[in-house]
Amino acid sequence: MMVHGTVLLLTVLGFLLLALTHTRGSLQHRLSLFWLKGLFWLGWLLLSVALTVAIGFWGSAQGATLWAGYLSAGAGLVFLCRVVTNRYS
Amino acid sequence: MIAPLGRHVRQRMAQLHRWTGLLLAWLLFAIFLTGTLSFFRQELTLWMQPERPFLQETIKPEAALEHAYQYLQQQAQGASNWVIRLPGERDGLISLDWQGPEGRGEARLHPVSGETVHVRDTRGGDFFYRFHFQLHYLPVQFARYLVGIAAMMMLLALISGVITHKKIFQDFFTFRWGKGQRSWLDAHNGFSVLALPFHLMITYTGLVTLMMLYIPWGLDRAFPEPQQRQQLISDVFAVLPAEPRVGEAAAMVPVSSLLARARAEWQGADVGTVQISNPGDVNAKMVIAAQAGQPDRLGISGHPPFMVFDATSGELLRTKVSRPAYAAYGTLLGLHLGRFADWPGRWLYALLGAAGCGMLATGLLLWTTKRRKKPDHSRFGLWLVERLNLATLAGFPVALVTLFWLNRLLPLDMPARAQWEIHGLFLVWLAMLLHALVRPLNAGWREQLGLAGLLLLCLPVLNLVTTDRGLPMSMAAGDWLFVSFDLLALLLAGLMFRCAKKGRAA
Repeated sequence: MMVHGTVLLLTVLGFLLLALTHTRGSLQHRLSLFWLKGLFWLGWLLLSVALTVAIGFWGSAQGATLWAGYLSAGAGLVFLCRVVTNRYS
Repeated sequence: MIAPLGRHVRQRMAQLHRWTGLLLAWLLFAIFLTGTLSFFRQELTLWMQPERPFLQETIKPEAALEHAYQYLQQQAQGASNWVIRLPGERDGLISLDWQGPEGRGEARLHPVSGETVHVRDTRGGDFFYRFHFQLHYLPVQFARYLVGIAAMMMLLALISGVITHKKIFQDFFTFRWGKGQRSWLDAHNGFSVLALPFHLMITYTGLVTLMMLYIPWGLDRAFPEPQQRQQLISDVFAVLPAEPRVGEAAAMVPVSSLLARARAEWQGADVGTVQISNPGDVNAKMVIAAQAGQPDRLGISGHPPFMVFDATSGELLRTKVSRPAYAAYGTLLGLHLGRFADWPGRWLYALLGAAGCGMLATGLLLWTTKRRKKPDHSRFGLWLVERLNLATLAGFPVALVTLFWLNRLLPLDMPARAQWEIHGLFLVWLAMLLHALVRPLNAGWREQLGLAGLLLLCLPVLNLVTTDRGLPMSMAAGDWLFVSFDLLALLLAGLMFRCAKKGRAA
């Protein structure tokens, strides 16, 4: 259960950084290019760490499968959060 | 009319996406929804048979087998075949099936006491599982072809959709509220792109699962004789070919020694099924198959390993073949079934399946939203799609919830009870179709979604008054399956009411 939570958290944080640095109107006008690039690559790094954790605990077959699923779930959660925040902000 | 491919590949792909996505989308929605529910096949059966005791004990397979043997020797002495399913994480009872001179028999035993547990006649979660690849009322072969065609169209729609989507990464997190057609497109993209690996995997592996039916020519060529095909089936599946009894009684070897041997072979994995053909006869054979859902020991393959023994001498006759192509097939099947997944993994599967339903639903609604603005579009075509959308996207969920209601309301001693639960589902679905045809569209959406919400809202109450497994009792007992079913029903009821209130779903 802890591993599921960790992988999900890492993918959510990874996609959150990707969304904030890659989408117009988020952090693009507030941070310098250096920071934007840094956070963008940190997002990818977190997704890679999630894959490493998943494979490390579940083995390559189950780990890669569940990681792919958690990528969708993480991206979906970030998408949903952005929808809700855009709607009510 | 789909024009030939030229320089405008994206536009052509958009046409392909539009029509492959539309033509069987209603069927695909029903397949996706029931397939999503199938990830909880065992859990749904447990809920639909509330007579099953809530079990928390870990049972030794040897003890469970002892109960099974005692029962079968008393009740199915002359049977040609015994099948014993041992208790597992997802189903705590011992399940017995046999084929005797008087026909097929089945029983469920309490794993601790060995007493018979009488459960109501229902197809349970198996109905959803079977429906999602062979539908109902239709000849099985025809239905499987139809599902295969639908899956192939889905695969085409997915691939053409990716090619069509110009800004797939740029629009990754984009959603614009209250923009009509644009919002439906963003929602459709969201459901599709975010869960794209799952959609591609589940559609492709779904086709692979029935590939012998869809592309049988390789098999026909390699194994032209029926005996060769029978041999192939025996080699790859845990089944025993029907063999006659010799008629000479013989004692069977203690199954515990064979269990230990099988477990040692499978890195300690638990045994799931024991099948014995011609029990008590000198020609008795025994198949021991591992339980699904042990990825740490058996990987994610959808074909658990098995061993076939001579039941009188204990001699190992054969084991599951190990060939790369068969292993690849097992892995693809395992990915589709998701039986390797623990409960968070199953929820993940179910959520992504729900995203698939969302993708189909938003695609269908987008189709109508777009065409409503085109004055030259066929009014009848639009009317038909709008009504089918209503009857499927709102009506089918109403019918599914009705199945759970009927499971609680139909008399327990009703003849063909399990069949009538399913007849009820289809009758309600038919009623929803008629309702969709006669009511104004917006009112239709409000009423059907409202009805789905109402049925879901009252389901925990119905469960409380008709069983002793209501929410308070389940919470007190720590029976999280029943608790989560009730809570999920309430959550989905809220979602349905919200959609009904919006009233703009159409």
